[in-house]
Amino acid sequence: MFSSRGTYQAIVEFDPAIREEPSYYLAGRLRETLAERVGDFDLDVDFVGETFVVTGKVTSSEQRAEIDRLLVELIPGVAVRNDTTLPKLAQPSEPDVVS
Amino acid sequence: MIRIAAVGDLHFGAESGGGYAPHIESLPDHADLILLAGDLTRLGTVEEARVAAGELQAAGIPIVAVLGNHDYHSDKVPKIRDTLEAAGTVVLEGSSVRLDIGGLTVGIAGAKGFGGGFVGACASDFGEPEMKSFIRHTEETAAQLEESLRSIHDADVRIALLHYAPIDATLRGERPEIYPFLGSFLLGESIDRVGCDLVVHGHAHRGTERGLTPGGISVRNVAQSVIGAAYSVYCLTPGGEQTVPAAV
Repeated sequence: MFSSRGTYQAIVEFDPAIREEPSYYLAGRLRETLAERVGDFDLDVDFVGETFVVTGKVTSSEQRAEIDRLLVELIPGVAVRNDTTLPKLAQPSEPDVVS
Repeated sequence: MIRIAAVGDLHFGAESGGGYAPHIESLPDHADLILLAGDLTRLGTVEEARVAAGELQAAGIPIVAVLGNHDYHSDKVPKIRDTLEAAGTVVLEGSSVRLDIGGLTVGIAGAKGFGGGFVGACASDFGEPEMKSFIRHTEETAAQLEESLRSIHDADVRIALLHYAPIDATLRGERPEIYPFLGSFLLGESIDRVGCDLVVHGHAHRGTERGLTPGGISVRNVAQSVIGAAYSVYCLTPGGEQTVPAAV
């Protein structure tokens, strides 16, 4: 459950219907909202201590920046950490001889 | 021998211009055609499709694609399809195409496919209308795939191109709980009924590249995050024996 005033305010702004729900639901709703808004379902959201931590792979630095922007929009004032990564493309490996 | 480049889940965004094209400029040196296994866009917008079409112009070889679930998100499939086709990409959905490459006919049957799960843990055509509608869509797309494969039965090389997975072996690495949203055994069953030389799919970003259908047909999950490269190349010799992947 959330108890700090900052978190409570943020939850109200994130969704007025939510008051003090277990972090499990909030992390789930935040993950779904982020995934749908940026079109990336490789994201995971966990609540660690008093911080929402976003992990997973993104496909561009712009997409990563969009996650930062959305976190501020969705849960302003709440401690967040964007730990998403942007993998670099490797050279194609040797051809795979299937038949 | 036919050299087939393949990749899925490129997920072009509106800001992605210039990021992919440099990786495929030398593609004609390495492959005869490229297959795109769906999810060319992130949110299914026409703007994203324009970016995809622009980037893919650099390929310089025939491009054949199916769309993925992301490409359906904004309900702009006809315009996305038109945008890609105007730039020279062949977009398949329950249909097939034949390409003449070096005197050989390459037949490609394509369909997005859908979910439903795999034997022992799958959705059934039973219960609420919503559940029946879900699995009936899979049955329809599997039937279309089968018909499309039959239409290329006489090609020298036959390929099934999907977005969703036809087997669970190429989903290893994903959470088993979401397998029913990643593919269906009905697609694999259709493929094994008709036969082909290679199956290519995407959608399972955390899956495994190599697998086999129960009937022994090679399957490759080419989601970009799985292959870790701009594309992978698969070599097929008409009439050649299937090489069993070591990891299966």
